[in-house]
Amino acid sequence: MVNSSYTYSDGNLLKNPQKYQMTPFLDKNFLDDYQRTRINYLEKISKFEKIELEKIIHNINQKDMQDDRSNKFDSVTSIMLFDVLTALINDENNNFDIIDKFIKKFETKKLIFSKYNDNLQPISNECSEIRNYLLLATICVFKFKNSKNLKYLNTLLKINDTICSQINSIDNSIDASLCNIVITNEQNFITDLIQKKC
Amino acid sequence: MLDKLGFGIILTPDNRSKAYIQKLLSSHIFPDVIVFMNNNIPEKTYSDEIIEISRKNGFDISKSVKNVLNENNFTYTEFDFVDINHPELINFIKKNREEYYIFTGGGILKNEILNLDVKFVHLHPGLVPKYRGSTCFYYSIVNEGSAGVTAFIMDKGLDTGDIVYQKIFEKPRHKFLDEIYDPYIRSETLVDVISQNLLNKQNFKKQNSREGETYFIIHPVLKHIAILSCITND
Repeated sequence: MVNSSYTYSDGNLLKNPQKYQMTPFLDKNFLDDYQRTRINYLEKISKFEKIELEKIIHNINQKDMQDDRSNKFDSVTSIMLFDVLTALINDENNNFDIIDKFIKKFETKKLIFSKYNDNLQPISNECSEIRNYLLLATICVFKFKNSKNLKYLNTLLKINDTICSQINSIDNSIDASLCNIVITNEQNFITDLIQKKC
Repeated sequence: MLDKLGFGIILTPDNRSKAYIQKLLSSHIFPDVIVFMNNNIPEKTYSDEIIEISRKNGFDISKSVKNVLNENNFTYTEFDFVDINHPELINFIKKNREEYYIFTGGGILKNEILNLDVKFVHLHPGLVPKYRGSTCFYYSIVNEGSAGVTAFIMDKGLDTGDIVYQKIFEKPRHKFLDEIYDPYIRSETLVDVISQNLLNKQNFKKQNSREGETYFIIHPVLKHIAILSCITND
């Protein structure tokens, strides 16, 4: 990962979040560097088993979440995001306003806190749970696939920058597989846009 | 003695204000009151290429706001801060009431300034309600190959005020979207608003704040796709 013009996932973005203000235009090589940088990050987690999304959902539901639900309140971010994701995947007729509220939260601070109150105000300073970023990124993948609304692709790119900056903290197959899903989908979306627009 | 037009303008030391004041000047439109919020940040220098393109778009990016004001003997009031909610600015506006002030800078107006008996007009680079929020012209160029500007009366919300006027622009054929295209489309729209006397006609259109989409600052990858779509031959 040397001499890349794509530097937006460099450093610890949880400590020093990107602001993305007045970013410079370079040239078309920037998009090639972006693609290469993302692939390099994926190689770092290639040692983990790749699990399909359906199985990931089943595993999270069975293991992590059941334990959490018995011990914590509904304000736990991972539970909220997991519930939204499963509803989205199952095409349930839910009110998904909460997705846009979470996106606004992320876009404002570029962080996702581990606990929020009913008004979505953070009630914890903890913001390093990689699972939360992976879940919101997966939600953005589904929202962009279904709507083609660039707002979701825009947030997906930013969350994935943050995830890449924390790639060394991924230590299990579920998170590695989610990471693979969100980055691969993001790259496919961008490749498609480049082919159509540039 | 010129007739009063019923509007003032609040300028800031940036390319948008350069385009606004130069376009008004070249259209022989003279605001009744000019406020210049100037925090004296060093003036950027630009390449010959960008200066030439800015001139083709009706303003000279190499000329500072202050120089344009001074060279053309404008009467203006200067403050050493850039903050639309600053108490000194609020006091000034209270004493120099115009029905409308054109606001060139960014930020959300707080209650104290909103509660003055003055309407603030913002030129937003997106057709609301479809394009609210930040850097909308990039999203619009990717989606539609064009961008729009909405002149609206500012309220408490984000780009939710009553619509004065909307105008659509083709995407540019150059890469300087932040520096030239954004100021260009906003300033062209401003000149239309004033020259067509749209503020005094008051034929404003209400928005439904629940309709539309709010965008956030564009990621550099999407920004590159938008700009490349402008400079790549169709």
